[in-house]
Amino acid sequence: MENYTINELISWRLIDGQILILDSHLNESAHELNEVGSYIFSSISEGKKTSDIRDELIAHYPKGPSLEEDIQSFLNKLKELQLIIPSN
Amino acid sequence: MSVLTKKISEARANNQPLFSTLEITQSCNLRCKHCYNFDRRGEESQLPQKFMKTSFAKDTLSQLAELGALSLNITGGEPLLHPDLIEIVTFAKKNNFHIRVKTNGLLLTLGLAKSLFKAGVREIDISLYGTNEEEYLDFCGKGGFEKTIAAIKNAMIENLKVNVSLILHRKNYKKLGQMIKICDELGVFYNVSDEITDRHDKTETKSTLGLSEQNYTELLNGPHAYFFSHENPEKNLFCGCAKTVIGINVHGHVFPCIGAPIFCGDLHQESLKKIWHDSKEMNKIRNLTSQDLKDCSNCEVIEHCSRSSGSALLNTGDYTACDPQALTYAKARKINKE
Repeated sequence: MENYTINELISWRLIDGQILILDSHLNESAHELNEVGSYIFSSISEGKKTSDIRDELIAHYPKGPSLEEDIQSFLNKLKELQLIIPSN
Repeated sequence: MSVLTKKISEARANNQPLFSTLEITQSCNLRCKHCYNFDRRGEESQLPQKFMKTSFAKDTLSQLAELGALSLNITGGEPLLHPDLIEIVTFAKKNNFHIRVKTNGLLLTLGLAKSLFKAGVREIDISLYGTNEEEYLDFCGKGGFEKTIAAIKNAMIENLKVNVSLILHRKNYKKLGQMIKICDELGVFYNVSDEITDRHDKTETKSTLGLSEQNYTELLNGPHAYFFSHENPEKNLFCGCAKTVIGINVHGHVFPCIGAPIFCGDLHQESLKKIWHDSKEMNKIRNLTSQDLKDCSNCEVIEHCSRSSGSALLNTGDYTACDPQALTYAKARKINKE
């Protein structure tokens, strides 16, 4: 799986378990992540590998048929918005 | 409702300081007549503390991040004078702040603009005081116009998002059109700042430099009236002070806003978290209702007023009073509309 880093052009803060992202340079927009999205984003900011984040989520949540697809879809969306950048 | 509007609304309800200002110095390389800090005609050597200690600034930033501050406005004095500005910005960026620096621009070389962006600054607010060196000399105590224009260009080259604050006062308001033309030719965003308040040291400037009712009426009838025709149909009287906004000065004193210097606590004595949540002054401001603003609640020009509690405090000594300058502007707007 592709690994990522947070785009340095954005700013963000964890507020009550949810991350608020401020993007003043790329798309002049703000984004709010839900609890799982915030966990993934925080993990990326800590330098974790995508495969490790996936394994942690699978261990934490009952593995539904679409969990891996959901994770990848979420990462693709962040990547599309340039909020995260491939690091390998 | 946009995500940001929703989060600001939530932050207001939960008293979360999304917007923070850190004053890292009171030292300045200009001697502006209108400066809200203090009368700068005296010697700077009399300043008890020129620069915020870097270790103290970092500790304060950590506490701000923990409280949930996202936007960080670094101000002064002139913040570019701080010898460790890049180190402070780098630390703030590591704590994921959205960083904005407010400056007169005189020291903003291309190299410094590059370093600031690399360290994490994303926005820069540059004040423009006039349209030539003579006007700068008269108002700011020294020349600086050409350096300011160069600073704007340098910041734009280095990808910093630039906003130019057009500082308007009694002596230069007729130059607004020229100032706007300068910004348009540079292709830069700008806003107009028409608030001249008395200083934190209680010395007066508003009566000599603040726009008069006649000045304001001229502006309302001029080609740039849209900057001045503020309306307040919902009769809002309160800003984000002590709710979404926090200010910390060079001495570590915590205020509900850097523009409303009501002492709420000293970071050398207490944690930011304790001051923010438990300060009697912070909570008093949070609990104010429109009935507490007695002068305003029955005012006949409230629907035209752009009152700021910080300005009311500086101009009258009372955070809840009518701000005479705001009243002057509101009266001019009402008459103009009629």
